[in-house]
Amino acid sequence: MESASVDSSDESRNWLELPPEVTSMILLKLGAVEILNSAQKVCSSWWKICKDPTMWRTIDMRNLRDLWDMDYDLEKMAQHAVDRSCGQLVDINVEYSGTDDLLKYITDRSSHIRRLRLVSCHSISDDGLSEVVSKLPLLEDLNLSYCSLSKEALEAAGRGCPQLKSFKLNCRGYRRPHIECDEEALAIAENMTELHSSDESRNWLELPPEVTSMILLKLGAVEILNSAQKVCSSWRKICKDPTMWRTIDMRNLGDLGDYDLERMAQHAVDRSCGQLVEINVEDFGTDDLLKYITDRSSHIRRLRLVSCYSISDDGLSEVVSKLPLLEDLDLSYCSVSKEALEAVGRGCPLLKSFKLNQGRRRPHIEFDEEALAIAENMPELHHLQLFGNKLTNDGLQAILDGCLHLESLDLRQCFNVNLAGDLGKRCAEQIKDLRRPYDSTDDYEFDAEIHDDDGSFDEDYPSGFSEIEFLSDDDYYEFSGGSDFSDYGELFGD
Amino acid sequence: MSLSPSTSKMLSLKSSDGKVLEVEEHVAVLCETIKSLVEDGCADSPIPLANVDGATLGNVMEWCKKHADQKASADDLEDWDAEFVERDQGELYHLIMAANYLNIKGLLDLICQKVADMIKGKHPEKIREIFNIENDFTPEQQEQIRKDNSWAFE
Repeated sequence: MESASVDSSDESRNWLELPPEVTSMILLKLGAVEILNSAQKVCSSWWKICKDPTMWRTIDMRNLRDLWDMDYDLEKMAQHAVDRSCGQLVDINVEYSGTDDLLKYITDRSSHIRRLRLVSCHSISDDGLSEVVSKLPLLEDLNLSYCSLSKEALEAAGRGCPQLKSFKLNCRGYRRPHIECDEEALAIAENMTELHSSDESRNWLELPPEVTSMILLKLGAVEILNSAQKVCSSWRKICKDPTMWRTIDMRNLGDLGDYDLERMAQHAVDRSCGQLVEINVEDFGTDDLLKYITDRSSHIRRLRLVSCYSISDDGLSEVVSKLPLLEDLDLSYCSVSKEALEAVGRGCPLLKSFKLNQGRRRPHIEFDEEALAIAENMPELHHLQLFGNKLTNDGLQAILDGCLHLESLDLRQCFNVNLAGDLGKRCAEQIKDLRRPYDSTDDYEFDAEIHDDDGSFDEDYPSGFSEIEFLSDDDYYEFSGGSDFSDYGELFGD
Repeated sequence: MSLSPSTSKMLSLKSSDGKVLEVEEHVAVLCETIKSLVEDGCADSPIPLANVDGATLGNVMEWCKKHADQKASADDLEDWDAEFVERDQGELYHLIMAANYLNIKGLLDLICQKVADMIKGKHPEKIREIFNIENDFTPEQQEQIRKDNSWAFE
């Protein structure tokens, strides 16, 4: 202490200035073993707090840290803890260490116990349990998992504890599971009529928050906003955390009612507090939404705009400069001009993965503008997917020359490319993972939801904008309507 | 470090309820928690796993054994996993806690996905029912949630 500098002593003094009730909240989290073995020995003010009976309304004798090489007597320690509670004990856990004697000691001194956990107390006998249950009239929650108790003891527990609402009696599932025994179930059914839940389900809220967020993240943004966050306050708290919104996947595969996906996406972006890294607004992204997202997020690395037909060239060109960290972009089934592709290349110098898959129509039409725009403006590409593109060998040559880091290239259904000659050889040498025009499409990611449903597809176009006008306007420009997808049967088959 | 099945030695794992399980080292080290003990030379025998009961530990090691099997194909594993997660929610809960404690990313991910699938497409009331979660929102919070719902077409 003498050598402590002025600076550090300033900081350390503060801990004792914590309000005592806050200090007890902290100490309570240690559990009884650590309180008795170390915390109370730290200083006189902690000692005082640890002596207070209110600290001992809940006694948790679990000791996870060194349960296996303890050199103290847990039973004596539990008795001491019970003494300190001065009869105020409400909740006690003597997992692993409970005995008949200890149980008697506890119940003789405490008439207000509501929760009792005796998991794996193998030395508690039927008689021992039956004898004490009548002294537990307020008991609501009892866990006898992994104990070895008879039907009679369970019946006694039911009779002695009329308030019992929650009861656990888990057994080792792997031990002779084929043996049938209904005695326990009958004893429970006949003697514990107040039970609300007899299984482990309450525990779901005890999952570590980071595990719960892992689960909820797998739901996607739509389900999180529409249902998960409304389940309870602890899930809601998790769903409000910006770290939950670093990845926003607005795909909605379920059906939870009608809602405005664009407003929902904006709300999700707001929750990310600028931490957004990855977003998917497949099927409904608009120029306005794209602007909303990029105005509020400067760390986006992955952006998926598949089938966002209403995103315009201008809309896209305007926002790409706000995506300097973008590494992964999917513009499949969008309508994007050569100029917009060039803008993407210039605005996103780190772009490593790019997808521009298209529907297959009039495959004989040759068109290299997109390939050239990619070749000239996206030199850092490692992965390129051009499923159904109309590029020719010229376009491919340009890509091989321009994108020297390319590791994977998907040219499936690019029927204007001929890989038979030298170019094919060069492709195979330069590209580690090459998918050829006639390769199998079994693992192609798009499914019937995007393409099969011609009806809803057409509804997305401005009225009066017929397919014929489209094609005469720009022949390469493809949409899925019509029967041309009939040969995708095995791909998108239902 | 190479841990080929043929030369792998056995490790003893002791569950919270005192069960001792003998497991090949190359299987057990799928648990990062055990792997670091082994690598640090701290793998006392038996290794006490105070947070995992015997039944759950058995299930976890069954998964590890399958996934340590070099001969299993990806398809095979997928089918096997799909069957593995067909369990009641009590077991899933214990598995998730164990996978988290033992730090087995693949298993944790698998169970999280399974639980997420149980939640998917359901309304809050149904989710509460499945997981027996109480609706603990105050009237004020309920109102706030309703207000937040600006995207819903009512």
